[in-house]
Amino acid sequence: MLVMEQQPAYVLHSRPWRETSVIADLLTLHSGRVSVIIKGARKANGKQPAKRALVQPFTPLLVAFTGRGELRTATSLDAAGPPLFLQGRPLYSGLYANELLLKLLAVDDAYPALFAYYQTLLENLCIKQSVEQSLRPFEVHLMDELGYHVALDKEFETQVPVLPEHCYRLVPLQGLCRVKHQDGNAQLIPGHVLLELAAGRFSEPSCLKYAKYIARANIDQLLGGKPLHSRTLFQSMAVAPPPSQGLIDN
Amino acid sequence: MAFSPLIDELIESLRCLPGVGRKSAQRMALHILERNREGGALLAQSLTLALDKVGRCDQCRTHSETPVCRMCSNPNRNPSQLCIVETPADVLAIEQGAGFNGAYFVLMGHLSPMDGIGPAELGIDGLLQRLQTQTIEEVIIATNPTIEGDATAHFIHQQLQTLPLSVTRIAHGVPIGGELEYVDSGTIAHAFAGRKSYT
Ligand SMILES: [Zn+2]
Repeated sequence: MLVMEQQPAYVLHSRPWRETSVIADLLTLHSGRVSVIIKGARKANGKQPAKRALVQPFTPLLVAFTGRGELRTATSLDAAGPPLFLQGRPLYSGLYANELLLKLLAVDDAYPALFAYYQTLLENLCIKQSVEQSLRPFEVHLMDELGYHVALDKEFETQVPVLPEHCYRLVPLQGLCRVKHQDGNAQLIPGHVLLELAAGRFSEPSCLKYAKYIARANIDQLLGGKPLHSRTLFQSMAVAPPPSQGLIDN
Repeated sequence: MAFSPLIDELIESLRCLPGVGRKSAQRMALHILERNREGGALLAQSLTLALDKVGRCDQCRTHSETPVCRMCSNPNRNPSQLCIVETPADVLAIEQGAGFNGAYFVLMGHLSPMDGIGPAELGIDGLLQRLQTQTIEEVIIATNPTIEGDATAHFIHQQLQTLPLSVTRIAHGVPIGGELEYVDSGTIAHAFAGRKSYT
């Protein structure tokens, strides 16, 4: 039996297991994504703060678990801080990030940097920074960590630098190609926008919508047709108006 | 030790009950066969009947063997207040404690994108239809204080924004008789955020 020390973690998702327990999918600092059984997580615990309050997404935790393979068993679980209060669109964005991590991260690969990016994302969502401005850098970091760095400042086949006055199209997960003659159906991205995004500047609304297009194209390619339920849910919230319509959102 | 095939089958079937493992299932099966055959027959009969007859109430979606459940057809209840809950057990809890005399809508779950449970699975369309056709003044959202419960509450709130009614969410806080030092930080945070002034 391999017993690990307590490490920082967040619950990405949990489901009931037997009478009083849950199986939680965690993002941990040192072990990456793991599934653990948390015993007694659904029962009130007398005078102890109830475990069920801890086993919620967006609550910083310290977790230790034992065992190997697909399903571990949590041996201790403590709060590492107050839960991050996400409401409304930020809450949905957090659920979207969780679904991405759940679907894209392999079990047991550690991504310490990603853990920090995730934490930053939650903090930004919490202080009500724009949802789009919080999500886009996170998506870029996620792709980088997964080994799909998509360079936005040069063409992927020729390594020729992107120039502000030219237009480019994205080959998902590969990179950019300069488009010399508009061929009708390709989404064109202006070079000056690409250079802004390559420098990590996501503040311009016009840049943000291209950033969204790029992130979505890459992620969809990586998911290979698997749907993102949280995105569908986000879109079905009729009252919250979509930030930009037209070409980009198709 | 091996039982005969029928007994084995009974034991296996009993294991579909929550919290019943192989050992308890075996005890139950033997108890019925050895000591309470009459009770067993009654159980078999009511199980078959319930599975056959119990469906959903057209109005509130809770379990009901009539098209409209007893609560929804009770003329003494106030139909202008509608309380939205996750499960039939929540209806029971509110009935016992809240002094609420309005109508209910039971979602039979909460939004859980990762499990593929969306608005359609919770009957949100039916809820909106009901709100558009009936005179309801207040909608009280009483989903659980969990992330999924919050996401569900927010979704419903968004959907109701264009309708001329007031939407409230039940308060979350410290349990009665609880001591602050033993309350988790999430609950404390909610209790602080929802503090009230003395009026
Ligand atoms: Zn009913």
